Amino acid sequence: MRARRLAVLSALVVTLLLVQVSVLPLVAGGAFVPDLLVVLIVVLALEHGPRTGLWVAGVSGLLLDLAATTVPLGSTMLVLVSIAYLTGLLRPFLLERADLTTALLAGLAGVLSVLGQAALAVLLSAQESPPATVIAWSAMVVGAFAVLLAPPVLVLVRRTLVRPEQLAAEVGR
Amino acid sequence: MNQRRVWGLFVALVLTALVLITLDFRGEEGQADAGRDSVTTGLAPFERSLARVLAPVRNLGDGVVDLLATRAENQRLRAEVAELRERRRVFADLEREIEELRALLGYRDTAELVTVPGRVIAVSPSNFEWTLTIDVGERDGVERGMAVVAAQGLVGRVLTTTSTASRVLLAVDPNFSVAARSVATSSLGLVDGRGSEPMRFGPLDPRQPVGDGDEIVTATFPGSRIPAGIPVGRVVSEGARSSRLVSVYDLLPLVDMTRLDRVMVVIAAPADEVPPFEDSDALDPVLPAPGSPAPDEAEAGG
Repeated sequence: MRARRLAVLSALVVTLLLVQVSVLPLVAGGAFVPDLLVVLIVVLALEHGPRTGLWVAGVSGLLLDLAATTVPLGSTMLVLVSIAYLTGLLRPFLLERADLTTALLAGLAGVLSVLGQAALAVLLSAQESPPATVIAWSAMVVGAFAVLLAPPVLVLVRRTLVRPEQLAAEVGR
Repeated sequence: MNQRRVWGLFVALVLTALVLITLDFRGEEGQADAGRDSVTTGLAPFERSLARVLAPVRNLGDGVVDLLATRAENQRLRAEVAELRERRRVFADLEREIEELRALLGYRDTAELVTVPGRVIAVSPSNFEWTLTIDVGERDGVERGMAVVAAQGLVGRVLTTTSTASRVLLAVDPNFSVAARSVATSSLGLVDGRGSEPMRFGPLDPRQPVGDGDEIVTATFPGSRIPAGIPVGRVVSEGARSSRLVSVYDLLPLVDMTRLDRVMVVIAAPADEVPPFEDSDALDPVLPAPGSPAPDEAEAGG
């Protein structure tokens, strides 16, 4: 059961990663690209706990860094892991994990993701930092996309992945 | 307990990320490049397939965007075309003006006249008076009676002046007359304006022949401020009337009086310089020596 869950989770991550690096840039047409993996991480951290969120953030961040060419290796990973951890910290305080709350948190995470990566780019001076207005616009647009993408990702995760609590219950039985 | 495990995982992942960043920055790119190459190679087929599948959707999206952009561009280009047309019209006007000014300058240099350039600012409102107003006046050195010329020849003479403008009596006005001569035969005469009719040239000596197409230029005349040699018009023999006492010829003005824009007022014309008389003091007289014979005598004796 646990292996099956791991396989489904891996398939989910790889599929969304492929969509992120292959489809979304084409659909966006050179404009701001939506961050699907941030949404996935927030959804997983809220629905399946911070550990799942952190693992997925680490792996998908590393893969995204490897898929990119100009971003320093590990920088996206650092941002996504931080977002997963922060979401996990918030989880106990969200007594009712309503879909709207998840969507809004995904939007906030999208904004933080852009700002975090911009801050890292400036700190590491890896590439010429874009103007502040571009960063602000990018953060807002990516945040808005994340809010819109959260419901379908939420549905996808709920339909494909067994929750850890259910898994524990089934193992206990 | 669970919280500590989460914290531990977080710290481990952050440390991993920091190590990767450090390695990447220290230039130890061998492993990183290998990893990146593997991911790129692994993703390439998917990316190609997805790009192929999504091409129609993307083209459709691009088409819609292009359509919207094309509309905006169309409007912008229309505005640009209108602006360029207007500018072309202005340029054509400027080119014509430049040509006119070049011709004027060329004429001034050829004739060696000292002139003041002026622009026609008004034409006579009356149908029986052929005058125009130019934008130079007494302040520019313009005085009454001065000749006004265009590149082709005589326009008229200054009738009245103010400090900043002058009214010019055109050569075709019935009140205009000027001393003139034929370039071909040098016969002197008088040119009179006749309004909308051709001008008239009457030689003083009716026996002097004046041929068809002869150019008539101004001649010096006491009291006139119009310099000699300014082209006035060409003789048209069809209107010639001759008798033993008087002969008159129709004259077509060289200047198109209806299309004047830039003119020049002749402030001064070069006068033929009179060569200075030889200074008697500078002469070296050869005086006969005392007792020697006078030159005439010496020649007679020799």
